[in-house]
Amino acid sequence: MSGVYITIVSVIYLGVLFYLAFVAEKYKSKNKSLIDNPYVYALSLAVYCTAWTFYGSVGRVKEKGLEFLSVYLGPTLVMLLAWSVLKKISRIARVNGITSIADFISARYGKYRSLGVWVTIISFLAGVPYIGLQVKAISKSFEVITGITSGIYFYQDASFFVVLILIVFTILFGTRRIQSNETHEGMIFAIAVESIFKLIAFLVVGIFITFFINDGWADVFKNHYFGKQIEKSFDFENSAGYGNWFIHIIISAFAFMFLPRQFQVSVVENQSEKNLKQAIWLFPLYLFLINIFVVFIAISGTSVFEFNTEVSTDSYVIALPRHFGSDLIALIAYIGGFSAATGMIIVETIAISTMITNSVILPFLLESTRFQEKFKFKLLNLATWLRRFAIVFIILTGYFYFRTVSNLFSLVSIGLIAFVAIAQFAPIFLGGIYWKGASKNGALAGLVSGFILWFLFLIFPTLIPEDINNNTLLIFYNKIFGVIKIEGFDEISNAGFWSLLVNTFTFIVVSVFSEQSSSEAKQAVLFVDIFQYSSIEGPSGFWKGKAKSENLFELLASFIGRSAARKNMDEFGLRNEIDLQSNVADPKLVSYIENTLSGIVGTSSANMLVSTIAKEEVVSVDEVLAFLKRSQQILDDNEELKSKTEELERISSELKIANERLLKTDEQKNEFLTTVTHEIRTPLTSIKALTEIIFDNEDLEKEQKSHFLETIINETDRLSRLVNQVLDLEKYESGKHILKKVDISVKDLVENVKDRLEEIANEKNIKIKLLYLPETKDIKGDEDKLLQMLINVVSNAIKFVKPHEGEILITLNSSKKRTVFTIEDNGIGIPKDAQIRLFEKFYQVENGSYSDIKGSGLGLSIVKKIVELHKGTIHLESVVNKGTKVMISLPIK
Amino acid sequence: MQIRNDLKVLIADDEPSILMSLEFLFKKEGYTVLIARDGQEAIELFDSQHPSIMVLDIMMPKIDGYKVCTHAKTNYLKHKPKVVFLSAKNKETEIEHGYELGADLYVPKPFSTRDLIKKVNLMATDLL
Repeated sequence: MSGVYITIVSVIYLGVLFYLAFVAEKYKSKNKSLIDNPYVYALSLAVYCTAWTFYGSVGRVKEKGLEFLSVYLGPTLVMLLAWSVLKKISRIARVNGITSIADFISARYGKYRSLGVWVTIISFLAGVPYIGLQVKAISKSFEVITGITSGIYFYQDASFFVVLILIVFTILFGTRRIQSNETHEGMIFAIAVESIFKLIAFLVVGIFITFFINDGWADVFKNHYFGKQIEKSFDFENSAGYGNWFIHIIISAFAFMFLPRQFQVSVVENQSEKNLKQAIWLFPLYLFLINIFVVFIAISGTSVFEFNTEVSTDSYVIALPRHFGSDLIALIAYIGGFSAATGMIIVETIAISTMITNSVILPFLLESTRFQEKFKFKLLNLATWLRRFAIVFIILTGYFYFRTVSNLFSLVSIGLIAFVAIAQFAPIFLGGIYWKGASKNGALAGLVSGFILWFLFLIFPTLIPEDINNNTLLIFYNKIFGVIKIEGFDEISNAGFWSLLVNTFTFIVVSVFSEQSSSEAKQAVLFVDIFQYSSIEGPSGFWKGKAKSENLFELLASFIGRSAARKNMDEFGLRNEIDLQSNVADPKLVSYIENTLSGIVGTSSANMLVSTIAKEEVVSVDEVLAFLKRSQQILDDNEELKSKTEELERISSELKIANERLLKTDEQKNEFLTTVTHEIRTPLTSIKALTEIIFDNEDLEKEQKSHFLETIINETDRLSRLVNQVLDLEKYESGKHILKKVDISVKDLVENVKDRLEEIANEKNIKIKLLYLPETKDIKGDEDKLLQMLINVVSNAIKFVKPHEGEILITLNSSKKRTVFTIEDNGIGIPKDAQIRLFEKFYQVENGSYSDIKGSGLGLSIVKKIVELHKGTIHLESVVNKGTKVMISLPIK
Repeated sequence: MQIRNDLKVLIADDEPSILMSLEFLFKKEGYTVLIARDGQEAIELFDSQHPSIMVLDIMMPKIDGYKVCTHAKTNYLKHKPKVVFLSAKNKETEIEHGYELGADLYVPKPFSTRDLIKKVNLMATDLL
């Protein structure tokens, strides 16, 4: 096919990517997200499948049979078995505003910059060849599909122009918004679509080869496998062996988690933790589908091109359809491979450029105070430009690598060498999030030792010019590495095994023997116990130091603009109930600002920036723990305070009621006093009047005189009775009265009452009858009081029955716990309205009695008091002109 | 004395002993004494006998002394009767209320029989 045609198709394809990215960004500006769903998330993870997968797997099959699958089994196992690890990583990254894996690792180890720098270096060294590999794939596939060999100069190479377009794309969508919490929406959406392209393309080629050229799965084997050269690759003797499988799976699992681009899509760009749940099966499914035809294409290709050595195995995917005359299928294959390569270049570049600016250049620049003074408030622009330069630098270095070095390696081996380098992050990363004892010295020692071994095993041999043979150093090298080489392991497994072993061992030993600084220990607690101390919201304020709110505002404003900064801080203040006006900023606010800045310039730089305006005090582990305890304590205290307040409210309302009762009692006392004086004056008046009469009238008839004197005596009795009753009642009401409780025979009690009232009753010719029911039980009580109580009730009855006709019946009865005294009469009865007031003090029914002796109106009040003192109840029934029944029920004990 | 005999004095009180002593006193002074045990009896006696002087207790069953006073002062036939309140209610406000209703005298209980007789005799001279 013509070069112009393919170039146009490539440019159109990239145009589509631009369009899709713009659409996604546009949605984002309307606060809708095209990428916040598990499908796009899983597809973005498929950036794992690069040109290596697309072209290289087929080549790998020819060499090693099914061993290529180990690279996909690793990630599958991670998704299926270690998704909780991924969840923890995501949470930590979100809470701490992590922008890259270098940022993550240095943040964990006390924002230790050297670690970040080393991680960046390793990522760069692993990433650039990897990018070169993608460029190589683009270039090669272009050659294969067009049949044109590119010229000697770079401007004669189509892939160079592709690279330029990719630089534009990456800058446009990778540095468009620099804050990490505003993710690269357009870029991720484009990547997800690219993943669809490459999957469909590979399936199309696979189906074409398997079902159209051949007659199905079995036919491929029948025609192209048995007896052919490739059969040997699948031989057991030639197969990779369990050791290689095992190491390759481990290394690819680590690579899947820690490759800069994988970390970018799976952690930094992750929109929400719940997307992870679906990706657990979506992503393995994707890997399954994209690998399903690899073997069949490889077998067919090897057979078809058995005698054509000019066609490289890595290009079978395009070469086969071409060979069978289907240019359309070949074009689809080309686009698939193109999308696999471009996707990787874009994401990897963004990830590494972020590391270079945030973990290396900015912290370095910020160390200079002169730089700080000059650039502090222009840092956002500077960061953006730095990142753009880094992007250009990375992609061009990758291109340069492709032009100069890459021909020495196959697609897969470059990929695997990068994998081993990246796997060096695993011990310190995983150790960092599960082991609080992991220290920065241990991490650095482990990482560097692993890196050195990686270099010695995999890079050093390729750097030796072939004509030097007798160098002593080289002999020494060959001797050492010849001895430790494990039999049956390939280069990758051997290097992977030794580097990871030494790395892990050094990491653990140095960590155990080195002391953690306070900031390290603080970060260790925060990372390891992330689920304990964080909501998804963000960090809790550990920050201990003093900063002015307005300085923090200025700092934030220089990055995100004044209005956005104002809005951010206001919202944060509102959400966390922080007073933004106070001069000394709340620790939570300082942490929040630092976190927001972390999203822009990385944790180390953000930490340095904030510490320029706020003097951080050293925080010890104990203080961190104390802080955490205090937070809990505050919650508890709040609870306690709440209950205390409630109690206070209850008490004050009780006090109010008591006060009202007191006022009422006071009023009642006054009224009582008025009534008492009135009641006392009445007999006094009679006595005074009558004595004056007797005194003034010596000539009184004897009969009249004695009648007057008798009245005086009666009135005097009445007076003293009244005084006694008032005093009694007063005693009962004040609560001063103590009951002298004794066992009382109720029968004796009632007979005593009858005896005492017999005389008055006889005067009126009234009968008093007693009735004991057999189950009557004796009670405990104050005998004098109960006697007084019964006399009051019965004498009332006597007063209100008609002479000669009157009958009073006293009945005694008991239930299980109570004894009931019932006093019935056939007197004049009490009207309904009067019944209610009957027990009020001084209340007297107006009907008048059948007795000349006037009551005080206190008798029933006293009865009621005595009943209450004995914890009993009194009940009254009455019908006018029929009679009255009073029932007093007292507890037996 | 002959003349005083023409004057009818109504005594109303629910206390029998007080009633008894007042009856004795006024009879001895020569008045014609009418006796009521409650407010209702007092009004009935006033309407039928037209006493010239009324000695009223205030707290009485059925109808109180205030109402009897008001009735007597507004429904007089020939002469307005003189009203004397005899009461154990001794507060300033209560005494004022008694005079407001048109009472001619308010005597707090316990009273001096000699004083009471003297004052009622004075009223009687006015009437004659």
